[in-house]
Amino acid sequence: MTYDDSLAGRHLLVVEDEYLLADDLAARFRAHGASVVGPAASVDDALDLLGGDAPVDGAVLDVNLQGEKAFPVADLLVERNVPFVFATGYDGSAIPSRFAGVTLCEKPVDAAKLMVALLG
Amino acid sequence: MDDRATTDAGTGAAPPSRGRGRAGAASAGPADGVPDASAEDELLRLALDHTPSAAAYHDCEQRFLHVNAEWERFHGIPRERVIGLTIAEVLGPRVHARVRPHVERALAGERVRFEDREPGKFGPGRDGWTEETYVPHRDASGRVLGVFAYAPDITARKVAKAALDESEGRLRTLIDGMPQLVWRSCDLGLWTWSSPQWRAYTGQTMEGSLDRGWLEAVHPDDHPPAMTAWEAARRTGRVDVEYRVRRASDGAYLWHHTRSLPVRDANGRIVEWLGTTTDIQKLKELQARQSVLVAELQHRTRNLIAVVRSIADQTMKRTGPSPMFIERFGDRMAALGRVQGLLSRADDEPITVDALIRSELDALGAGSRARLDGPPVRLRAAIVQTLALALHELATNARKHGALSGSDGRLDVTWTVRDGDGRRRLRLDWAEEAGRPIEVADAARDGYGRELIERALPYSLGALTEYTLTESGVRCSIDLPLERSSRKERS
Repeated sequence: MTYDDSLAGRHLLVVEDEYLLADDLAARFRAHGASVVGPAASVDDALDLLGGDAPVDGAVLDVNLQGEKAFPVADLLVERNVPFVFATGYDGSAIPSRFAGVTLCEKPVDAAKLMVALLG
Repeated sequence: MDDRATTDAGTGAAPPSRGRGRAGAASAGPADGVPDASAEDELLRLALDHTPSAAAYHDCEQRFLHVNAEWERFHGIPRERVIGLTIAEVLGPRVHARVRPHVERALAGERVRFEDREPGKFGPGRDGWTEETYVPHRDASGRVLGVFAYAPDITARKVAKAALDESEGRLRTLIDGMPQLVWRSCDLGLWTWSSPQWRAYTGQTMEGSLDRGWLEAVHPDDHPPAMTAWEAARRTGRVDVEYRVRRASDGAYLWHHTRSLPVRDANGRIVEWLGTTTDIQKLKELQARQSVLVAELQHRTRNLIAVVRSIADQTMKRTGPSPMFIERFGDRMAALGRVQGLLSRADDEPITVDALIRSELDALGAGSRARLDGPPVRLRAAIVQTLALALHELATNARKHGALSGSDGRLDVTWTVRDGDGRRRLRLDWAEEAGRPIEVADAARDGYGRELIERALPYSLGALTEYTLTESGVRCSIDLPLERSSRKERS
């Protein structure tokens, strides 16, 4: 893992129901200087975090949160103009067409690709 | 032609009717001094002998006065053994009984036509058929002198007709019995006929289904593909399209597959289209389910790979690149493998708390040293993996450092289910009694199990957990909701 501060000062929301993966991703982001919002394991938790005062500059969304789809969170991010990527085991056909422009990172996620998508 | 032949055969044969017909007829002309009549007589004989139909002339006593060549061939009897004898004498009482009523009607002045069947004429089971026409022959005063019988062999036609009827019958049985909805159509889907099945299924009348009437039974959203298929049909020579058809019995639109091929004339021009519409709803549902399952499999597999990577990272962080890494990582992969096995059988064999704990203890060869006590509780798939990894860490730790490491320890795992805020919750207690003081520092060193219990279970499963390590071993409680939260219940 390379340690740089390319994400310094950024507040990144991690939405992932699997603790091991959420923890892993959060650790990677922190290693690049970001401050992690969450992680959130459910749609409700994610919506609560977005409803709070904490600033959010970008987000990574697992599509399937214990059987619940993360699309309400995605809709809110679009509305707020917050860049985000989907991290998922599904292929693109499982994603509604309104998110056609959103980058899809297949699991296991490539952290470098995530950075590019969120910074770009 | 029939009438003239009848008349001439009659006039020629009538005078010598008591004697030998043919010889008599041949000598009758010159004897009467009418050469023209004689020549005409010969001409008619020639014509009769070359006609493809059996022909005969009977007098009022039903005696043969004349038969032609085809009659000889059909009956296999030369005319010399026929002339002057009665029908009963020549063809036997059986045939006579059959034709006599018809001959008698003709002799009474009626023109008679009927089909005659001669059973077994051409061998066992092979009947001979003739189409008999009996024409009365009258003199100038109208008195009936005899009967001209004309009987073409129609056996071949009969056999062909019977075969056709049988084939048609089979086809009708097939069409009436097949589950497909059958129809006929002109170009561009202008129907000309719909089967009883189509009408029964859609509730349409025959009239209602004709032309584009059938389209009313098709889901409105599927009209465009249906019509596109018909527009392309002339070019492609086939219709092959799927659309939903409304079932009259409950109003449900079910998926159907429609196929049609054209019937062409000798010049290859399309005369009409024959088509079937087949229910494929079950297939569609299975396909949809398959897509869901494949997507789930993708999701689960990719998540699993990510979990493996995370476990590798976490294990390496604790062991460093040492032989210990191989051992710990291998154990964790084995636990992950066992839980995949349970998950893949979960549809047939629900995963219970008891089965999950037992599977971990058995893998360590410690199944008999633990007391498990609790009601049967089924676990939903989403919580199984994380819980199994946590239980694996507890069991491994007990085996290495705790209650299961010596011969005098004991492990109690008990659980109960209770209602909490409208959701059922599982409360599980893990209590070790080592029987002798254990090295707490050794037991605490790895710390991965503790992290899973104190952080992963609360995070992923909404669990409330407690973890205590004492000299007698680990005491741990896990309290987690068994059902997903329907709506947020956070404050």
